[in-house]
Parts: sequence; structure tokens; C-alpha cells
Amino acid sequence: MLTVSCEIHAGRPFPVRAKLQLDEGMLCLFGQSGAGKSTLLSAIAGFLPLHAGEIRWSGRVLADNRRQTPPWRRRFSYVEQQANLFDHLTVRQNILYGAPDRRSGAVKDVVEMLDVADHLDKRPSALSGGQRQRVALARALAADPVLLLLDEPFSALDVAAREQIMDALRGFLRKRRLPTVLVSHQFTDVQRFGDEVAVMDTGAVVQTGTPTDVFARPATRRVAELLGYRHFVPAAEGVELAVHPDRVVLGEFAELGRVYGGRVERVFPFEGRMRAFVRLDGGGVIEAAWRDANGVAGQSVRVTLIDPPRLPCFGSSLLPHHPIN
Amino acid sequence: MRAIPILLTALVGGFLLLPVAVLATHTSIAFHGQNAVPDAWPSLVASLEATAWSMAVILLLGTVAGYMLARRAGVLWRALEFLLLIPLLLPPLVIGLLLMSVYGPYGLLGQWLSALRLSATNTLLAVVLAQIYEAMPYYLFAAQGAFSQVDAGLERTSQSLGRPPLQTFFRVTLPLSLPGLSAGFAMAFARSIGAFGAVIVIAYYPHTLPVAAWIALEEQGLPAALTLAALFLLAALPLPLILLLWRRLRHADRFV
Repeated sequence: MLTVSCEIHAGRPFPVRAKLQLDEGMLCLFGQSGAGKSTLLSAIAGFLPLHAGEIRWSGRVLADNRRQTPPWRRRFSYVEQQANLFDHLTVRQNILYGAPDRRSGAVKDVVEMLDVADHLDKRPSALSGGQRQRVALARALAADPVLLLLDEPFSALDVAAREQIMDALRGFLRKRRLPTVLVSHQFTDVQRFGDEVAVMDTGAVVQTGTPTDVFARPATRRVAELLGYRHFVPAAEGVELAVHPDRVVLGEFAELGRVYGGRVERVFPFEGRMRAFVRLDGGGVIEAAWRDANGVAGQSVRVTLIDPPRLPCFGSSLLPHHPIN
Repeated sequence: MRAIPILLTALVGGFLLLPVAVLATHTSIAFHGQNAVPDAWPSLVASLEATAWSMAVILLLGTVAGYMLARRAGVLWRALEFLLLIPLLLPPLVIGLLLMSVYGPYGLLGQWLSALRLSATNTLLAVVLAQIYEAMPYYLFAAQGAFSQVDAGLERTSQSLGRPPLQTFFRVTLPLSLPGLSAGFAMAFARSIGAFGAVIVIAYYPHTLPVAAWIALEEQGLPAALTLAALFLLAALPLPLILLLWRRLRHADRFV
């Protein structure tokens, strides 16, 4: 079990404070760039000192503000956004670099799972970006780690490759029961990959939970914004509804959520589909998925907000931050 | 218009290679060799021996110092890097005078050496010291540049895969920085074996090849000095040329 309760400075504009636990499964650290996700992961890996608190693995202190177990003794494989393959070695040599047993069937399983068997005798310079990332993951898994740390390893991949690798990797990690911490700034990755998510903002963990729960019930307006909720509609005194464009449907479906009337302001293309800005009768403008390109400005519509989260107004937080004791 | 860059490049090439061509066609080796040879072979041995020692020290210490300069951040390290430029910019004669003031018989460290029955003037040790001082900055900064080109993320990855820092250095950092290190080594070697200005001040004896060539010029004239110069080229050129060839072949191999 990984237990993290620490504060990291590392020359940052603001410190990173985190309190997390991971026994098994996949924990995702989610937030914008600069939130402190990679800093926290780097500290867990052993590359950054702690200012306060400690990091434990299976009850044993790995790091506190006075001492640190070095990275090469932790057995935490660490994969960064750049594949960091060793260009002077072949793919086979890269994969076996940290492997304790070169002949083990586990290495063969990893090579097959990540579909890199055809590239073993090549040099990394001959591989595409996606292939390089697969080899980096294979190398990390072949080292037989007790914890896998992934720092946005899929960000350089196209959507199809990303989904394929994530699905294969998730199945493999579940089978091996290998705890994993994934850093990502894309919530779609978190939803596809993670069992638990810790949302981070300006160095603090602001909400934890399953991806479904966190997405459905963001604790604050800021968390909602990070999750892609774009609009906030007044609902009652001191309460507003967070609106996500993917959770708005045309028509009246009272059983799904809140129904509003409104008028179309503009229809526009978005990622291969059409969306529309709709000004609600009660005030506020939201985005909604639109059926085709033939929307007419001023057209009256009825829209349903699917189970929108209720948030206090003016960004007040429902849950206080917990400082490190 | 397009011919002008070509002509200018030819001018540079001609200026640099003409003296070498003249040396190569020098025909008086057989005549003056009989007079120059008695000094030539001891000088050649002295040069090679001193250069072997100086390059061993430069390689060991320069590699470590170059790595530290490449990896360490902070004002002190950057200040050190700036200060280490100074020896690179000193005229060789000045280097010799400064070394004499430190390692000479009445110098700061020279007195301690004397107490240990060692001498850093007119000895092989003195030649080695002068060569190290002249050549070290060339290797040091080349090493710093070579190590800077190796992404620190590669070292982090190696360590996370269970390799301690020293293993990571020899298995990842060093192989990837070899092209830059070899270029620095070649430059430092050429500077070391060719050291003259500092050597002639602090170590007139034993005669290294450059010093012997100077003496031959003064006592016997240009043809005799050219003989020693030709011998010097034969001793000094092979290693840098082999390293250059190796770098070219390695570069080609990486893209196969």
C-alpha cells in the first residue's frame, strides 16, 4: 500500500501538499498543467525531496524530510511523457534493461500485450512516437515493479492508439494486480483508466473519489471547471447548476434532469459534431449538442440538463482543504 | 555570385593546408635527419610519455568535472564555470610563468614538492603539469557540452529501473556522450602534445618535440626544424584522425 502525506517545495511558486492512499488498482492524478501532479509523482518516485510529511510503502517509510530511499531501491517503474528510450540500445535491450529475469515469461507477456515483438531488433530512432511509448511501457513492466508511475504517457499518441494501449494496459495491470498512479490532464483518460481520481489544483488535492462520482458531483465550481463544466446557471438563492456540454440534450426529458426553454444564438462545428449556444429563458447561455448544421438563430428550443451538479455560488468550497499536520 | 562562397572556402583551405603540403613535400629529411635524429627520438619518447600521463589525468578529472558542470545548477556552479574559462584564454607563455610561480622551487607548492624530493621544474612532472594546464579546459568544456546533450530524463529512467547512479553513468550517460567526449579528447590531445609556450618556461628539459623543434630551428635552421615538425605530425595526427573517423562511422551507423 502506498501512503502519501507530504509537502513538496522543489523551487515551485507554490508548494504541493497531498494526502493519498493506494492499495491496489489505478489512481489518477488529474488537473491542469502546473497543478503539481508531476511534482507529486516525481516525489513518489524518489526524485524530489520532501519538505514535510512522509511517503510510505507497505508501512515502511520511504521518504521524509530528513532521509530518502533512493529511486533505484524502490522498485517503482516511472514512465514519463517522453519515452526516454536509450537510443544506443536496441528495443530488446531497452526492454530488458531493468528486467530481473530476462528469460521470464512475464517479459514475453509484456512484449505481446504491447505489440512490440516485431520491433525488437530495431533502434528506437526507427520507431514512431506511438511505438516508442509502447516500448517505454514494456520496459517499465518488464522490470517487475511493485508500483507503476505513469506521467502522461499517452499524451503524444493519437486517439485510436491511446485508447488501444490504455485498454490493453488496464487489463494487464488488473491481471497482475499492479498498483498504478497515472498523471493526466485529460479526464477522458481518467474515466477510461482510473479506479480512483485525485483532482489537483494549485498544489492541493481538492477532491478524491471514483471518476464517475467526481464527475457527477464536483465539490466546487473550480473542480467543475477543471472537469469541463463550462456554464453555471442560477438555480436558487446561493446555488447554481454546473452544465457540461456533453450532458445537455435537446428536448424535454424531465426524468433525466432539469428542463429549460431557450433560444438558439449560434450553431457551430465542434470536433466533427455540431453544437449550439442556447440562451436560456431564465438567464445564462449554455452549449448543447445540435442535431445538424441547420440551426436558425432565434429558434425556440427546449433543453434538458442531465442531473446537473448543484454548487454554491461564488466559488465557495463544499469541502475544506486538509493541511498536512 | 554563387562562386564567391566556394572561392572563400578554397581560400581558407589553401591558407590552412599549404604549410602542411610544404612540410609533406619537404625533401631534406634524409640530409638533416642524420643531425636531427639524435634529438628526435628522445624528444618523441618524452612527448608521448608526458602526453600519456597528462591525458590520463585530463580524462579522469575532466570527465568528472565536466559532468558536474553539466548537471549541477546554482550560482556557485555557474561562477565556477565562468572562472574556468580564464585558463583557456591565457597565452601559453603566461601560463608557464604562472605555473613557475606556483610550482617553481620558490613557489607556493614548489617548496612542498621540494620537501618531498620532487621537482616541478625541468622534469617530466613539469611537462605533464604544463600540458594538463593548457589542455584541460578544452576537454572539460567539451565534456560539459557532451553531458548536457544527454537528457537527464534518461538517467531518471535508468535509476527508476533499478540502476544506481554509477551504473547509470557507465551504461547510459557515457555511451550517449561519447561523440562529444571523443571530440574533446582529440582537441585536448592535440593541445597537450603540442604544448610549447608553457613547457619551455617550466620544463626546458626533458626536450619535448615542440621544444626540440625550437632548439633545432635556433641551432640548425629551418630544414632541421621541419624534420622534427614532420615527426611531430606523425606522432600527433593519428589519434585525432582515428577518433574523427570513428565519430563519422558511428553517426552513419545510427541511421542504418
